[in-house]
Amino acid sequence: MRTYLLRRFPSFLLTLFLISLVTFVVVQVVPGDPAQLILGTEAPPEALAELRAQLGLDRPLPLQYLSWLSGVLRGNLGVSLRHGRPVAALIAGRLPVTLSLAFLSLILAVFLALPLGILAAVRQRSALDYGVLVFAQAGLALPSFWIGILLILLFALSWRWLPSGGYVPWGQSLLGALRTLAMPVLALGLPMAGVLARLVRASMLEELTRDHIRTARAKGLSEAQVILRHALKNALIPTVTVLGLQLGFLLGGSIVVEQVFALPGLGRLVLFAINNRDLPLIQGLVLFIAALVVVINFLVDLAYAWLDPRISLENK
Amino acid sequence: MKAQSSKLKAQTFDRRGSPPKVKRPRLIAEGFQPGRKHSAFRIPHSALQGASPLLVWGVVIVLAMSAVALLGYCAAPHDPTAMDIASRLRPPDAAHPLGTDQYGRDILSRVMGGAGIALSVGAVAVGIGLGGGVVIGAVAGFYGGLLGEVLMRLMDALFAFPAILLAIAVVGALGPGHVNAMLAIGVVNVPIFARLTRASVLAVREEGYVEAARSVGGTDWHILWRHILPNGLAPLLVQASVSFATAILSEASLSYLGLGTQPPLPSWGRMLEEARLFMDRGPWLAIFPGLAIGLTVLGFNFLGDGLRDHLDPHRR
Repeated sequence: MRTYLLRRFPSFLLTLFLISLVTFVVVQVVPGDPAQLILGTEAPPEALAELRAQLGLDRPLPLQYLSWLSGVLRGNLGVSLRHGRPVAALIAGRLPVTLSLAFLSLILAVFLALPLGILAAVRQRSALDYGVLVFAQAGLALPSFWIGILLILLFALSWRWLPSGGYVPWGQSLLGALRTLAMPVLALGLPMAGVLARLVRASMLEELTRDHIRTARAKGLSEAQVILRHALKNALIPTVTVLGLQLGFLLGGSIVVEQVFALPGLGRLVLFAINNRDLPLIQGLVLFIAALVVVINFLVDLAYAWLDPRISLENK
Repeated sequence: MKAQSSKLKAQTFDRRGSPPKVKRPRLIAEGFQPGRKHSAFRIPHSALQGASPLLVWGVVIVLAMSAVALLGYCAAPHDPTAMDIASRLRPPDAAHPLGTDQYGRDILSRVMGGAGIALSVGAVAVGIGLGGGVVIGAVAGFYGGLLGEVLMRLMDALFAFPAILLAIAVVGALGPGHVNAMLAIGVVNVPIFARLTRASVLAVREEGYVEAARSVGGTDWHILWRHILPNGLAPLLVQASVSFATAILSEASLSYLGLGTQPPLPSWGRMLEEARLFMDRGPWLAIFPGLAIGLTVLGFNFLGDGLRDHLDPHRR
């Protein structure tokens, strides 16, 4: 396990470094002069030049990158042009909303996908099995923001059960937070549940044909024990990996879903930054979200190696 | 004569109505015709036989949506951008089968126009992804070395970004719009195709027939194009279909966020965004564009899954 960690760590660091490079390059393509954005189009050229020098925009790009990177490594993501506050503080303020949304969606997806996938595999070719496959295809094909719109149409406009948007912090009211998060979580979690259920079904089906399952049945274990203890445990391994990969998808999807429900999370901040050409904010946010995904995937990789010892021994 | 005809009849249909089993000499390579110049990328005739229902449905839906898109350009019932305030927010009726929007524009014509936009964005984005990815993957796989390593590391870094976040960042950099959305989604697709191409190049690089082609003086380009890439065509085709589906979803998301196709062009995502304000009075505004997205994405997903089963000899 330790050698596996040591082997994977350099490439993990390299990926993080390259992500910072890609982020910097992409954001530097943004047309428009930040100094002019701050001071307005009628600012005198001397003032613009002075501000550019102050922001470090008159230096060559590689130097700008290095100074940005050294700031990032010390936790300083720069200062937002529009908010006038540190980017890191802005991210910290919005992070709980996005993490709540992503985490609750993940929980919903897992809790729906596991029983559905297991039942579909056990009762292959039943109505439930076909239902799961249809659910999975719908989850892949329907955009989560449209599911969100339909939920608003039903629960907020027709039945008036839930607020159509906005956010109540957890600290203020637990029920209020759940009420504002319910529809976004459904919009993001339901499609993922379908896709995961299909995966659980496929790996369960494969597992159920293995020799050790026949042995387990032959020695007289109950069917529930065979399925839950002997088949599910192995079938979970591919599920865990995909779950890790889906986290990136969840964080990306939350950008759009936050917009549907006017949730003040990272996604709304990204859009604010882009619409206002707030360079440091875009740069900091994109880097933060991408790095978060890479870190989570690295942890999932380690968890996976721990679950399945064959992996850490591979390519030794 | 009579006996002969009855014998013929018996040969054509047996009692159960199933066709007689005719012994047919099997060719060594099915689909090979002597004397005909065979293109490296020609799909043999037998590839069309025994298609799964999934593949058939995929082809049918994709062709139907393409027809809808074509009709939208040349034979839409109304001008998709023509406003008619007198008949705004009309529910579906004979004149407007899918109703009208807040400006009195015909939803059916707009959904049809949206098909053209979705398919064109998908085609260009997949084209960019495929073109860029195949070149990068082929170079990385064929030449390897430091260049290959650097290229693939960069691809890994691009792949680590949540797709929609990268697309948003690129569109944010280039400015919102239809063409920039195509570019952004295309860039997001490059690493997927690069990985696939590199893997298939690596798989056959050392094969005897590649060495044979080199020994008779084939240039690198010739060997790659004629001998190596055709072998990796099947996974690329499958991925192209799946990427087409996600490209349509991404375009819808970008347009929903206001970063993709700009008004008055009828994009499905944009239509859903505009529907938000009026859907309490006109729920049809929010329903039909979403259905169109779902159906089209479903078609391309079916096509991809069907092709995967069809082209993979192990699964047949």
